[in-house]
Amino acid sequence: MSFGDDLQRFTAKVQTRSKTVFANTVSAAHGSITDGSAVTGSQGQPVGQYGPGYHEGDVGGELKASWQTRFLAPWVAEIVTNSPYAKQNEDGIARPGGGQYTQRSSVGGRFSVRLTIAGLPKLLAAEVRKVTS
Amino acid sequence: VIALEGVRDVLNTRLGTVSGIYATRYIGTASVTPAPSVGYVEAEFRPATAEAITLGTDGVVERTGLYFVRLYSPTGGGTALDALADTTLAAFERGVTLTTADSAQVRISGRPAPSRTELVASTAGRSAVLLTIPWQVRTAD
Repeated sequence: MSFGDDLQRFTAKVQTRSKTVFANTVSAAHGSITDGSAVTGSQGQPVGQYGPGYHEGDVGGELKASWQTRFLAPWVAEIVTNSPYAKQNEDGIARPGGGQYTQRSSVGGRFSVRLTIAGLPKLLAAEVRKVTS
Repeated sequence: VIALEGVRDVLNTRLGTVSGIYATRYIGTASVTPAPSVGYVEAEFRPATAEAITLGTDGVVERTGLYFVRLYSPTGGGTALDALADTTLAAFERGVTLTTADSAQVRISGRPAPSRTELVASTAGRSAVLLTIPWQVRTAD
């Protein structure tokens, strides 16, 4: 058992933990956008509450379910959506008519992406604590 | 414990001092539809996190959040809106410190830096832009 062996084990441990922290932070960011997070203050995505007189027969949740995480490279990930409602829900500007985009749902809220970006250092710190404590 | 209303108020006051800012301003999330010839502002204050950053029961708590400003041009006023958005953003540049009525120091932070979107055109002829302004305040409580 040499110092070199110790160093190799330590390096492997750091690499494994770093990958775990990265993957878990990306997952936490995804959750912050879709479901909300006490760490970032995001409320998550709204879910359509439909019934008589308002999109009767439709099922809500399309926007929330549209978010996907893709790992593009070992240290690169993106969280994306192709929902046409995502931008106006995020910034509150109705498209294409303009004016305020009114949120009818009692769950979720605006600015989930922006709050998640602002809170990313806190999400990262929380994940680091989990693997080092 | 700091009154977050004081943080909101000082940000709203700062917004009101921006040169050329529209006189019609709506604070909160009320749905509004002014006349097409009227440019207007919507501001939303969103506290996000609170975290003790020093030890002890009387330690320092850092609170952070985002202040959102939506600017809507009057019909056909997109070019002027673009300039107004830049002027407004400059009033909230990173490092600006504002003092609340109860003497708390509200700092415009740089994580992430204050930012604005591109102009969003509407079929009604208005343009809109969103400004995102991160703030932080540290108090002993």
